[in-house]
Amino acid sequence: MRVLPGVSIGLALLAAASSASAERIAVIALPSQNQQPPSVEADRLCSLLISHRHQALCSADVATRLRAGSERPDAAWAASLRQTVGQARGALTRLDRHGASALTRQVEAALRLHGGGIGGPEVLVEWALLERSLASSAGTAPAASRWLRVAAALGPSVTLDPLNHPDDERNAFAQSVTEVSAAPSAALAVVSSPASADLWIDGVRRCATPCEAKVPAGHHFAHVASPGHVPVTFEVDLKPGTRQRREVGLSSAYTGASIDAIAAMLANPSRSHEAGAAIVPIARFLDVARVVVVQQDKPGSLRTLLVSTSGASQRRDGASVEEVAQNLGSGSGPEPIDSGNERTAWYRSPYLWIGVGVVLAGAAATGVWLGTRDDGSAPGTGTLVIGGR
Amino acid sequence: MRALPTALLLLLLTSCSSDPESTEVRVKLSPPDDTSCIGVSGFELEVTVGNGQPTKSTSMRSRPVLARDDCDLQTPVSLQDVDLDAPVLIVLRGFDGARRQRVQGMLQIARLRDAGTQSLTVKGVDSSPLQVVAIDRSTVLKSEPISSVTSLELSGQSGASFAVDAKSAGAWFAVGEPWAAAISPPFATPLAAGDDITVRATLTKGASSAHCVLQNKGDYLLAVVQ
Repeated sequence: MRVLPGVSIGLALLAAASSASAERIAVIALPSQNQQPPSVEADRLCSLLISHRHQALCSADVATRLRAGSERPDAAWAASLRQTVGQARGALTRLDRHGASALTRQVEAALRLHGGGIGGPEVLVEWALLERSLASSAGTAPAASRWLRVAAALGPSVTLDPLNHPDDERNAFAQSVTEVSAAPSAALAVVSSPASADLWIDGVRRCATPCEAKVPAGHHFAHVASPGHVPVTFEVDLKPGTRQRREVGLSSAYTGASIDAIAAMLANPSRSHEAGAAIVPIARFLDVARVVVVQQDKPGSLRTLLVSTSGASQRRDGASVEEVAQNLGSGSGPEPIDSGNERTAWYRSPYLWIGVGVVLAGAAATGVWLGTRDDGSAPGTGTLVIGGR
Repeated sequence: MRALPTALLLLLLTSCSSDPESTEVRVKLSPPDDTSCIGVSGFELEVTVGNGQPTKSTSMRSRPVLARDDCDLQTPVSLQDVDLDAPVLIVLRGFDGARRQRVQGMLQIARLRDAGTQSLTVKGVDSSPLQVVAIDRSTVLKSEPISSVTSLELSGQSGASFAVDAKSAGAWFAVGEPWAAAISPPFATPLAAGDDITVRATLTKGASSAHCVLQNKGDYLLAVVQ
């Protein structure tokens, strides 16, 4: 009867040993002075970490999370989009409908991504009128008149520049604004968490949440922003006389050192510790145990910096992706720099028990091998067939 | 204390078994339960055995995936002389007729010898499935061959349009009829059954276009020339 508790302890030790190296790890590819970020190598490292059963956040995902909220779609952003609208109009004039359409999609994507931005309603009106011109050039009159109504609802107070808009377009826009203004207005109420966020509708700041804004009926872009948080954007279609309520939750944005600043630190060997300290907030923001920064010094030569949330960092120059993954896979991460913690009894050390578990697993595996080996019949290679019914 | 390793050894000896006769391991694809695989024209496979270099292969389909449970390689990819005791990592990516990645999947097998039949779960790469339009290009091109197409553009009534560069899309564009691809959702009004669209093919010499009406085929829209 003493065997059963023994087996249970052994299995528990094995489980501890097998799960000890599984961690949440983020991989970041950074540019260096002469080289682009080694994205391919970073993705390969990420794949290897996943294959080692780590929870890996890959480079593109990490970059998106770190940059979320850092872009400010302000007046300069709106001006550059208006320039793109101008280029699209030029393409349309040259009967290059394909080029005009591609540029229009760029503008649309940027406006949708930033909920119309915070650079005024002019860019939105310009874009909607561009869509109208595209629809007109395709001979679809209903779509063209719909886009005219969209433009009027987005910016009823906008005055069109006579240099960029022919008389008939300005007259049609003015007529549509009159119709939109005559119709009963609609309302958009927004409640945010945390409160006191700025509510921007169609590029104009309207109020601080929780609040309600009256707008002409039609399609509108909303952008809810608060310092230190990732803005929330959405679009609404409001019918005349209706009221829509939205609740939005704002998540914290990364506000530490920029990726470019960290890249510059890492390029200088004497600033490795500084780079390590700057990466710790990234690890905490991403809620990972470790961050692996990958940089390419020259073609074929990788520089890596391994940073844990405790602040310990380990720099390696010239290591291959496989070596870095192996290093992480075996759980041999950097030791904490600060060793002033209280000393613990030797028998409480998890490494001791992991070691015991590994020795037992080795003994068991040897036993299995000795018991099941068949020198004559077990083939060394086989066929792997993927897919098909 | 000597009972501990002995008991563990006995337990593992009795619970583990090997099948020395089985030398073929099959990996079946488990399709996504949404429409993210609709329009996929073929798959790229990357198989890494042990610490070796990954083996890359492409498996094109004769025609795109148009039914959810058809998300599979039409011709299985077979790798011979694979070390049965090494871990294997399989990464699969599926692309549509515009060479846009639509699905992916990954399977890790710790040891092929004991693997038997495995299932590789295929998932969409977009946060939500995209709208797919299919079209029989021969109805637009009439007698012109597919190889003469340099680009294909689909324009909706709203002015939104979707274009694909045939040269960049390569073999993924050259897949059999009907050609299918995910189109970026047009702003505010996605395409719907009954909508008119214009399909324009730019050829190495000249162009060919046709007005089509979209028919609802469940998981995708089929453009039919008027």
